Amino acid sequence: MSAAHVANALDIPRSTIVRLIDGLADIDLLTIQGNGTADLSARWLALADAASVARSEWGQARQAMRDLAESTSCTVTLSVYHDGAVVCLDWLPGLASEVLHLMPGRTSPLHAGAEGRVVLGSLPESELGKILAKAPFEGFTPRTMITAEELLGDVARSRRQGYTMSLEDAWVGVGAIAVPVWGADGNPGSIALSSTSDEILGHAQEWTEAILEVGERATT
Amino acid sequence: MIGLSSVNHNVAAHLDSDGGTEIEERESGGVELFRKANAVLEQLQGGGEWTAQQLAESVGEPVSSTYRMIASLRDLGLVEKGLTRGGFRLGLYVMTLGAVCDDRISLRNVATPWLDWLRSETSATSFLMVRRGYNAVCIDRVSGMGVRSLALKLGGALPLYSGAGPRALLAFLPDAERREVLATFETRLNEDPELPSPRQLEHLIDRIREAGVSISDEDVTPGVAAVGAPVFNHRGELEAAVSVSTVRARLLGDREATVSRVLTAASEISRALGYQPSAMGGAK
Repeated sequence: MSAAHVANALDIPRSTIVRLIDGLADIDLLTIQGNGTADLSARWLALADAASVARSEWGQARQAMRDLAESTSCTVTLSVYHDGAVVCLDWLPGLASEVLHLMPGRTSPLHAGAEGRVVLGSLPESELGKILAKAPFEGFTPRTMITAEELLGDVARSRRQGYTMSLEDAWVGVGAIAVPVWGADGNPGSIALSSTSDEILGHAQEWTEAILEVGERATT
Repeated sequence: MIGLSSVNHNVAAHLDSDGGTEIEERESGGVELFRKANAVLEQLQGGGEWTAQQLAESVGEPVSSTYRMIASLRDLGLVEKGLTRGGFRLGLYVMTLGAVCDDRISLRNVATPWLDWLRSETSATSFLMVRRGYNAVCIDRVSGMGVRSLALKLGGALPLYSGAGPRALLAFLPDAERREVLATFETRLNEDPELPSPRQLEHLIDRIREAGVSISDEDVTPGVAAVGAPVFNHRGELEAAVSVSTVRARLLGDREATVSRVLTAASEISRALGYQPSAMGGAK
C-alpha cells in the first residue's frame, strides 16, 4: 500500500504516515518496495514463531498433537480461544494431503469447523450465552450451523461425547475431528485432525479413538 | 496493510507530539521511539517471558520508560502479559501479522526476479528447485541464451546427487535427513551406474558445505556446467536451491564471478524469505 492510501484509510495525515512507515522500515517491520509502497517485512515470520513458542502453557498439548500426527498421518492443529474465535498456534501437515484452512496465526470461528465448535462447548455458560446471542452467524457452506438452536444442540453433543466432528461445514470437501484441551492457564483450546471429508468418514472410529486418547493425555 | 490499520493512532500521537514543536525534535523523538520499541521486541523475540525490569536492563533504558513502551505495545496487541508474575511476552496478534506475511510471501514470487537477474548477468539458464524425496524438482526456470540444457525442464526432476542445484540441496539437508538419503543411495549403487560412491558423495558434500556453493562440470550433460547454491527460510531451514547452467566454457570461464552471482541470488532470495544468518549462526 502507498502512504497516501494508508493515510486515507486511517484518517491520519500523510506526513505522519510517511514518518511511521520510515520508522517501521528502519526497524525491519515493514519493507518499502521499489514502487514506493510498503508491506509487512519477513521479520514478522520470525516474530510469529517466537510468539507461538512463548506460549509454554501448551507444551503438553504440542507433544500430544505430534503423537496424533504420527499415528494418523493427518494434518493436526492446536488452536486456542481468543477474542471470540480460535487462533491456530501450531500445525503439522498430513502425509497424504495438507489441509490449509487453519494454519498458525489464522483464525477460525466458533460456529464452523470442529476446531472452533469444540471450544464453544468448553466455554462457561455465561460466555457461551454472549456468543450465541450474536446468532445468526455467517454460513460458509450449506452445512454450516448458523442459529443459536443448532449450535446449542451441537454443544450438548460435543460435551456428551467429548469430541466434535465436522464434515464440510467450514470448507467444502474438508472434515475434522477435534477434542478440547486446556492450557496451563485454564484457557480452552482444541487439538484437531483434519483431512478430506471422505477420509474422515472412512476412518471415523479409528481416528476418534486416537484423538480422544491424546486429548486425555494433553490435559492430565 | 492490515497491521497498520490497528497500529497507530497511539504512535501517530507520539510522533506528532513527542519532542516539542520543531520538526527536527519530532523527527529525532520518533526515531528514538522506534528504537526503543525495537529493542523491546528484539528481547521478546529471543524467547520466553521478560519482566519490565529485565527488559529495561537488557535494553539499557529506565524502567519507567520501558513500562510506557510495554504499555504502548500492549495496546497494539504486540505484547501481552505472560504467565509468570510481572512477565511479558509477544502477543497473539503478532501471529496474526505473521500469517498475513506468510500468505503474501511465495518462494517463486521472490525468486523470479533473481532468476531473471541471473540469466541477464550470465546468459545461462537459471533454475529454482526444491527437494521431493530423493530428487530435486524444478519449479521455475528462465531459459538462457545460446545453448539451452534440456536435462531439467519445468516440473522435471534430477536425483539429489546429480547436478549443481540438486547437490546444493543434498549438501544442506538437515544432518539426519542427509544421512538417510545417502544410506538409500548406497542401496542403489548396483542399479545406477551414474550414482557416485558414498565416499565420493561425502567428499562432494564437504566441499559444497565449506564453499556454500555447488559446481557441476559435465556430470549431467557433456559440455555443460552448472553452479548452484542453497536458499533458506526464516527458520534457517533449507527451502530450495537456485542454479545456473550453460556451456562450461562460458559458465566457468570466470568461475569466481559466476559463483558470486549465484551466491548473491541465493542470499537475496533467502533474505526475502526472512532468513537472518547472523541471528541463526549460519544454516542449520
